[in-house]
Amino acid sequence: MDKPSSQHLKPPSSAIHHHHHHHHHQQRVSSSSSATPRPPLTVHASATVADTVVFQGTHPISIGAGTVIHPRAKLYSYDGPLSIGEGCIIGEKSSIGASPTPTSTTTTPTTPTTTSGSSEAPSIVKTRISNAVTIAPLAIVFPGAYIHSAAIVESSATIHRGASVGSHSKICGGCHVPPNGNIPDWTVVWGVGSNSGQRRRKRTTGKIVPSAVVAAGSVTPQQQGVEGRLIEDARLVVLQRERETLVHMIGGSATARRR
Amino acid sequence: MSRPFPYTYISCPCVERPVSDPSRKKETSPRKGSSQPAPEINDNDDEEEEKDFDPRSPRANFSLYPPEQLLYCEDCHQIKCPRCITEEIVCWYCPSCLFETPSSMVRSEGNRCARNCFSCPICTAPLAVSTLENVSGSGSQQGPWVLSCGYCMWTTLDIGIKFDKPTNIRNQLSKMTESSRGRQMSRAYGDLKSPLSPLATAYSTVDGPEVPPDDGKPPADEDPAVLGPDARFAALKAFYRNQLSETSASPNDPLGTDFGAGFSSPGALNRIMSLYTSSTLSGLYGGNSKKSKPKPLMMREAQTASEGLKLAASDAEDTIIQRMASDDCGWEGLASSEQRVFQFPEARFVEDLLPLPTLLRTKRSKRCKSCKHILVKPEFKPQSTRFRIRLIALSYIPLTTIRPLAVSPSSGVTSSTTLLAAPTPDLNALQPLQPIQILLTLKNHMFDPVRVTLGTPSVTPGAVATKVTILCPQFDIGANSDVWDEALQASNPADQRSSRSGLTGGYEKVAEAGKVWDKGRNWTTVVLEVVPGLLERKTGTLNTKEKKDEEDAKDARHARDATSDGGWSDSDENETTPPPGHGLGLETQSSPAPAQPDEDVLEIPVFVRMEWDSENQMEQPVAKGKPEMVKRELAYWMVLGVGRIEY
Repeated sequence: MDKPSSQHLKPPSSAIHHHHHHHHHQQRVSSSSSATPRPPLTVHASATVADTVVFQGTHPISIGAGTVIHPRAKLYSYDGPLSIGEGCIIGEKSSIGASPTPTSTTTTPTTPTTTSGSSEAPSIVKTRISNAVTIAPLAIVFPGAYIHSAAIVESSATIHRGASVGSHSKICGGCHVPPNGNIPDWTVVWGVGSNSGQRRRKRTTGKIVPSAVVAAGSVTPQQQGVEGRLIEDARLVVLQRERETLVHMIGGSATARRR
Repeated sequence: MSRPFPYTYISCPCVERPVSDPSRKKETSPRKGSSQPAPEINDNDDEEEEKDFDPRSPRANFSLYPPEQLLYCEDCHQIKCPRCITEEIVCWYCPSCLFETPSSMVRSEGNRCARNCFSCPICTAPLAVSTLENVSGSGSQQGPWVLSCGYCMWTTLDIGIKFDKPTNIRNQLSKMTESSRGRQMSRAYGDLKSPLSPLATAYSTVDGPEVPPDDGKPPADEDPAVLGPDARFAALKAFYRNQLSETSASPNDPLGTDFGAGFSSPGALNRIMSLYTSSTLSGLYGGNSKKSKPKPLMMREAQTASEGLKLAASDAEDTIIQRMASDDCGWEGLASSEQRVFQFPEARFVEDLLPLPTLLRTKRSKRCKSCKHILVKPEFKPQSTRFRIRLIALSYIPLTTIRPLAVSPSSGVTSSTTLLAAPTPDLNALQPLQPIQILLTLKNHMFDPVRVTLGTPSVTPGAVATKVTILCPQFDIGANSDVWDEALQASNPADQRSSRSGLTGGYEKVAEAGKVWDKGRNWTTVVLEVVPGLLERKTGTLNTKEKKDEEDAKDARHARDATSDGGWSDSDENETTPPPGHGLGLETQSSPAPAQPDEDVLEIPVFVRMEWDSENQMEQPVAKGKPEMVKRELAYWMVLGVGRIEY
């Protein structure tokens, strides 16, 4: 079982020299200076990171236990530290954090505040992704966003700077959460477009008495006591299974390629 | 906005010939008065263009179709646009489970899937039947089942519904919504978190026709026997049908009635008519004394809940308003109008929305309107995407493609920098007054060789006078043949390709008048010489109305690009009133617009006339001479969208 060794982090361009510091459960790599700054990485041993994941930036990036990061995901920490919790799935070609703007690509790794490509966020902003979050392919999470646990950011959705996505919420495909926007817990943002066409709905968590029009007459009252939360529990179970499968696929292929 | 350049549209001949008349070929153009936008800006040769199709006329735009949307009737020998055909429904099927529904069932049950297919009431995504068993830990392997939306994560648990088995969910749902409807419906209006339900259940109505209408008693309380929406509709329907039969059957003597009251009944008309038609009128007069005649029953309205009457609770609206204003409802808790369209009318909140059974779809066969010949007939099975008959126009008329010829240095066009820089002219920025050459390729899909005659006005109609010359207006196209034949016979397909491209010849090839540019097995390419006209910069105040009309027509055509629905009405004659809502903008468009919208688009009307000999498969009234081989002729206008002229 060489899983811990196979779970080495794999910065994308292999031409760069790395220092590997092996701890008990965490491996810390501080990259040497190069054209693209390497962020200090803290990856839990049980996390699965594909070979072609892009890590760039100057601030530390931490990845929690059991998190799976698909190939070609881009994680930038120019604007501030980036922390990804446990049991997350970061989809292919998704982008977390912001790459520096082309004008400021000449970065000096020692002064992170000046390297941030975005002029509007010169201070360090922390980007947080909590546990069991799903970031679908091509989703974009800008710096300063806080995605709470068990949230879903669907493909091509955009979480703008400073936005907060509540736990168990879902940002459907292509939807935008505006800068500093706040999505409460258990909310689904769906629809088309950025603002006007977008709608929100609250997911049910508790028991719902059938409303008047619905009139679930044939259902006995004790039968009705199924909480909406059950659906979310089921989804998280499925998410867990998906992660297990992904570990085999991404981790396995990564191992095979290394040898 | 519309298709990218270059494009081709074909004008269905039905515009000028509403009634199919195969004997008459298209020689005259549609009515001139309507096809011309009222003031031609520079009407240099208006008389000559009398017969020419004007792609800029608002009316013409309604007849232009992309070629692939057209059908062809083999009986009429004519192109058929969506307005020249009738449609018949072949089968109804559910797009989600592909199960066919008999049309009798559609008539009785409605056009929605009767099985397990539902769409989300929130976001219209299809719902999936999923189980709760592994989560709820109910022990048995068949847990309760719910419908869940994969997109917006709505489930039937949101409305407190779960199903006992994963099949026949439509039935289960309708049982739930209908069985104890009375109690639930009383809650709908009396019991929205308000303590009215005891009152409602305590109240009972007197059943009978003598119950006065609602003016007497306050409708505060709900009937316990009040019905659900579906049942109420059924009750009302039965009630009115009953009323109709009662009131129309009972009177047999019209004169005995008080006419003033009798008119309110639908039976009154029958009575009045029988007054004139009945031969027993006099007999009835004599036989019946006036006092013995029963008063005819007047049609009345539903008066009890069992008849379908539903009285709104007096505080129903207050309850709804309070609920809307409450914090847990909010904007998101209100059902949008789109969501409410297919729901029960009293569904106002998202909690009231029911999953919608999937709408059925149809397969349709299409017939020619004039000869009833079937043009399109799909396979009956919903799973099959094949067609038994499909007479698309492109297998009869030549497929027309155009592309610009690379500007050759020897052609004398050296004045512009852009033309020299680019090998082919940029179709989105054609230089005015600089000739370009356009390759017009017609590809024959019939198995008979075709002789084609092209015609075009030498100057395009419209404000921008573009000179067009077809260098070889008459040519032949070879017959189409089997693909395998071609593959076996083709000795040098590479040569064909190279010559066809027109680029590889190193610009030696120069277009000559009277000669085809290139020719292949079943295609022929000729050259069009086009001198784009100069756009005049106008202040835009001149012809705003015409502009509007053109916009409308353009919109119509663009809309047709998206949908193949061709049911546009011809409403845009300039002499008549403009379409509603467009008459107001006459003065508002006085901004210094450089030109009319899309005035810079270079569209060339080309009249195509094809002649070919074909075997006479059917009786053909126009058959000339030979019994077996018949000379066929087809003529139509097409419009070549070449590009956009630069200012």
